[in-house]
Amino acid sequence: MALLEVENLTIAYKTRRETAIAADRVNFSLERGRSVGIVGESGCGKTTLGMALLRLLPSNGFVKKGRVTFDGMDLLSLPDTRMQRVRWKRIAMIFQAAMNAWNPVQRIGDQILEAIRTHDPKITKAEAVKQVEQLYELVEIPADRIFDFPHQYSGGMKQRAIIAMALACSPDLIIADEPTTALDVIVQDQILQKIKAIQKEKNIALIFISHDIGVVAGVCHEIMVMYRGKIVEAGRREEVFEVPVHPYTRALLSSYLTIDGVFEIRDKQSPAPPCTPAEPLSKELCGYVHLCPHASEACRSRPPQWREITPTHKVLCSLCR
Amino acid sequence: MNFSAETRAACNTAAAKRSYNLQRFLDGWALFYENPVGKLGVFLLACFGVMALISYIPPLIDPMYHPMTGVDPWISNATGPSAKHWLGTDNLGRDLFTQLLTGARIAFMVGISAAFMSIVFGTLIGMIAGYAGRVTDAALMRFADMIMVMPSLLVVLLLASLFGQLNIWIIVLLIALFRWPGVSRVIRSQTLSLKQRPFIDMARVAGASHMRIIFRHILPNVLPMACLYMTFRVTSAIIVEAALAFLGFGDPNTVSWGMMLQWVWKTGHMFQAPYWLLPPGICISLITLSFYLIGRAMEEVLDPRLRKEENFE
Amino acid sequence: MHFRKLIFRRIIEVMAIFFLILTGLFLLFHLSPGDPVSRMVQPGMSAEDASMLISQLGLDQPLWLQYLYYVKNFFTGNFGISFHYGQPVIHIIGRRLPNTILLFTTSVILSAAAGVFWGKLVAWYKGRPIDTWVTILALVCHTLFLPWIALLFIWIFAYHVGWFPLNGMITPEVWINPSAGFLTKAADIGHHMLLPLLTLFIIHVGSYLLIMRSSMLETLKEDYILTARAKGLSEKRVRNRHAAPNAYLPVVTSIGLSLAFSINGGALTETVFSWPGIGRELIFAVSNNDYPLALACFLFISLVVLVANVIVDVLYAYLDPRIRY
Ligand SMILES: Nc1ncnc2c1ncn2[C@@H]1O[C@H](COP(=O)(O)OP(=O)(O)OP(=O)(O)O)[C@@H](O)[C@H]1O
Ligand code: SF4
Ligand SMILES: [Mg+2]
Repeated sequence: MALLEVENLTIAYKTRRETAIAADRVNFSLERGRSVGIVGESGCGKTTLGMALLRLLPSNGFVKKGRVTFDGMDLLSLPDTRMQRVRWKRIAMIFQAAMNAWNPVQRIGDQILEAIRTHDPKITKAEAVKQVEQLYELVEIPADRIFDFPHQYSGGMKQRAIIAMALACSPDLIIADEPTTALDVIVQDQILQKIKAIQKEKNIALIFISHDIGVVAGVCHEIMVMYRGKIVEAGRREEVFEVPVHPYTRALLSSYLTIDGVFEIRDKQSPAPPCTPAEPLSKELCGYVHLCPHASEACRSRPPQWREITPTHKVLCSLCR
Repeated sequence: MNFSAETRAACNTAAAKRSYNLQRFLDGWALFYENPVGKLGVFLLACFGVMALISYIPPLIDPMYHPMTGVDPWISNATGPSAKHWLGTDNLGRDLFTQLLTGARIAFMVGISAAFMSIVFGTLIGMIAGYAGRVTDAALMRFADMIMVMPSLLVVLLLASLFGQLNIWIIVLLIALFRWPGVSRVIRSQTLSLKQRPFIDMARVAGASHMRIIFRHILPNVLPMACLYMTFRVTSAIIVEAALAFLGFGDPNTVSWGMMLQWVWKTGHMFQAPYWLLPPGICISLITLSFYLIGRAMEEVLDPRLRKEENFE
Repeated sequence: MHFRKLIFRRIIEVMAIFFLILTGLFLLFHLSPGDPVSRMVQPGMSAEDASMLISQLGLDQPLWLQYLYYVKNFFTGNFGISFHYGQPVIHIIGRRLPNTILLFTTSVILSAAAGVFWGKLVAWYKGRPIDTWVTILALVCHTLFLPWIALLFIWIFAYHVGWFPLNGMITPEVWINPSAGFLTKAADIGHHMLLPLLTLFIIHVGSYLLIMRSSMLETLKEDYILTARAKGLSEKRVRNRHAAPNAYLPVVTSIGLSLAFSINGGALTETVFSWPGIGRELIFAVSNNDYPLALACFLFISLVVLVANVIVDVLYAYLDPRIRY
C-alpha cells in the first residue's frame, strides 16, 4: 500500500455569501521516496489541498468528503493529539510564505529545537543543538547564525532554514508549497537542487506545489495539473511533458516553452486568468470550457470523463478517446 | 494634446473612484447593519436622541420643570420618585427627570461638536504631515506626541484656573484641541500609503495643485477612517466634559450629567439618594457605550489593522 | 549597543518634550489675564517674605530673565509657597508624589496583567459564549464613568457593607500607636487602597482586554502560527509561546499611549476617595486658586507620564528583538 492515499478529497470554504468548493474530488497516491508536483495557476486550490492533508485548513475551510490515508492511518478522523504527533514527525511542510513563517520574537534555532524536542522529549538540549548544526551544514548556512532572530536572516536563508526545520524530525513526507517563489532565480535554483538532493538521499516522499511547470519538471517524478479545484491531468513527468493531452496543460506548457514545435503544441494562448471564487466550481461540466480552443458541443453538455492514455497517465477531458 | 488626455484619464479615475467609494459605502453599511453590536449601539443612541428631543417639553408644561431654575414650591428637600417627579427631586426641589433629559442634549452637543472639531484638526494635520513629509511631518508629529502625553482633563482644568470660568463652548474647543493627535497619526499613515498609489501621481502629472490633491484625492479616501475616529472621540469628549463638571469646573449655566453627579456628591446626598446618584451615571456610561459600540461595528467594516492607537477615552 | 542607543534617544526626546511643556506652561501663565505676582505670592504674606519670594522667583525681572529663573527654579526644586498650606510647594509634592505613584503603577500593572491574560484566552475562544460575554463585560467596564463608579463603590462597599474605609489613605489611630509595625501599617494602607484600586482596575481592565483580544486575533492570522501548528505543538503551546508574545507588542504600545488617560482617571479616583496624591492636590489647588501648587503639580504629573512612557518603551524594546538587535 502506498504511503499516502488521497481519495475523492473535496474541500470547501464557507464565506459570507456561499460555500465555495476549492478542491474537487482529488485522487492520488504517493509511494515512499517518490515525488509528485502539483501545478496550476494562482487560486486553483493547491495550498488548500496541502493544508487539508495536515488538517491545517483555516477555520472556515472544511473537508466535505473524501479520505486521506497515510501509512495506514485515516488522517481525517485521527484524534487531535495523535494528529499532533503526525505533524512534522511524519509529515512536514514548507510554507509558501517562508518570509513570515518564522516567529519574529523567537530565535530561529530555538524554533527548530522546539520542533525536535516536541517530538522527542528525551533528547538533551546539546544533542538537539548538534542535530541543528548538522542540518545547517546540509542547507549551507553557517552554524554561528543558528541562534539569530528571523529579521537577521535574508529571505533565502529563511527559506533554507525552513527546509532545515522540515528535515529536523526526519519526516516520511514533506509538502513543499512554492518554496522558492519569493526568491531570485539563482537562489531558487540552489534551493531546488537542495530539495531534490535531500529528497533522494533521505528517501522522503515529496509533494511539491508550484505554479511553475518548469520548476516542477525539474524536481518531481510525477506531475498533476490542477485547474479550478480539479486535477485535470496526472502522469509521470515524461508523459505529461512529452504528450500533454489536456488543453490546459498544453497552454501551461506553451507559456513555459518559448520554442515552438518541440512538443507540437498548437495552442498559442496565455493561461486562463485566475478564476474568481464567485464562479461555481462544483458544476459538473469542464471548468475550462470558456477558454478551451477545442471545446465542443459535447463539452458543453456532458461532464468530462477520466481517460487513461497509459496506465500511469490520465486526463479529465472529453477531447480524446 | 497628450496633456488633455491625461487630464481626462485622471478625471475618469476620479469618477470611477467616486462610484467605487459609494459602492464600498453601501457594502459597508450592509455589513455594519448585520452586526448586532452596531445595531445595539444605534438603538441606544436613538433612545438618547429621543431623550434630548423631548427635553424641551417638560418646561413648557410647567415652569417648575425647568432643569436649572424650576423649583417645586412644595418640596425643599431631596425626595424620591413620585407621580409628579418621576425620578424625584434634588435638594432644592428641582425635577431630576428633566435634568436628566437636558443632560442628554448637552452630552450630544458637547460630544458631537468637540469630536467634529478634533477630527477636522486631526485630519487636516494628518493629511498635511503625511503629504508634505520631511520637516513638516517630523515637526507636526513631534507636536502631536507632546500633546498626546498630556492628560487632557488636567490640562483643561489648569487652563480653567488660569483663564477663569469656562463656558461650555470653550470647554468644547479645549477638548478638541487636546484630542486630535491620535486621529492625525492614523490619517497620516493612511496618507502616506495613499501617496504611493498611482492615481496621486497621475493627478500631479495632470497639473493638480497640492490643495486639490489633498482635498479631492486624499480626503475622500481617509474620510471613512476619520468618521470612525469621530465616534470614538465623541465618547472621549463626553467623558472629559462630564469629569470637568463633576469636579466643579463645568459651565454653571448648563445642566449636564456630570453636573448632576457633582451636586449629589457635594451636597452629601450620595448615601441617601440613590435615585439621584444612579441615573446620571448610568446615562453617561450608556451613551459612551453606544458611541463606542457604533465605532467598533464601523471598525469591523473598515480595516482595523490601520488603527495603531487603541480607543482609550 | 543598538538597544542602548535607542533608549538614549528616547530619553532625549522625552526630555525635549518635557522642556516644551515647561516652556508652554510659562507662556500660558504669563499670557493669561491676571497679575503673575499676585498669583505667586499670597496676599497675606509679610512684606519681607513677599519680596524675598519675588526675587527668588525672579518676578521683578524682565520676562526673558524670568524664564531663566523659572527653569533654574524647576531644577532646584523651588516652586514658591503654597497658598493653602503655607509651605514650600516642593515639600507637598514630595509627600504626595509617592502616593500617586503607588496607586498609579499598581493599578496599571494589575489591570494590564489581567486584561492581557483574559484577552488572550477570549481571543482563543473567539465566537464561543465565553468570548461574547467577556467582551461585552469588557466593553461595559471600559465605558463606565469613573467618578460615578467610584461613588457607587463607596456607597456599596464602604457605606452599606462597611468592608472598607470611606476615604483617605491611613487610619490615624493605627499610625499613632507606637507599637504598630511595618506590616500593620502596610496592611492599613492596603485596606484603604483596595477600593480606589478596584475602581481604576475596573475602568482599565476592559480596554486592555479589548486591545489584547484584537491584537491576538490579528496575530493568530499570521503564518508563523500556522508553522507552529504544523510543527505538531499543542494548542496551548501555540497560544502561549507563539501567539501571545507577538500579541503583547501592540498592547504595550497602547499602554504607553494610554498613560495620560490613566493619570486623568487616577486624579479623579484620588479626588473621590480623598487619596492624598498629586492628582487630587492639583484639582484641589485649582479649585482654591493656589497657583504655585497647581503649576508644580501639573509639571510633576507630566513628568510621571513621560517617565512611565520611557519605561514602556524599554519594555517594548525588551519584548521585540527587531528593536533590540
Ligand atoms: N480562508 C479562505 N476563505 C475562503 N476562500 C478561500 C480561503 N482560502 C482560500 N480560498 C479560496 O480557495 C481557492 C484556492 O486557494 P489556494 O490558496 O488553495 O490557491 P493556490 O492554488 O494555493 O494559489 P496560489 O498559487 O496563489 O498560492 C481560491 O479561490 C481562494 O480564493
Ligand atoms: S473537456 Fe472539452 S472544454 Fe474541457 S478541456 Fe477538454 S476539450 Fe476543452
Ligand atoms: Mg498557494
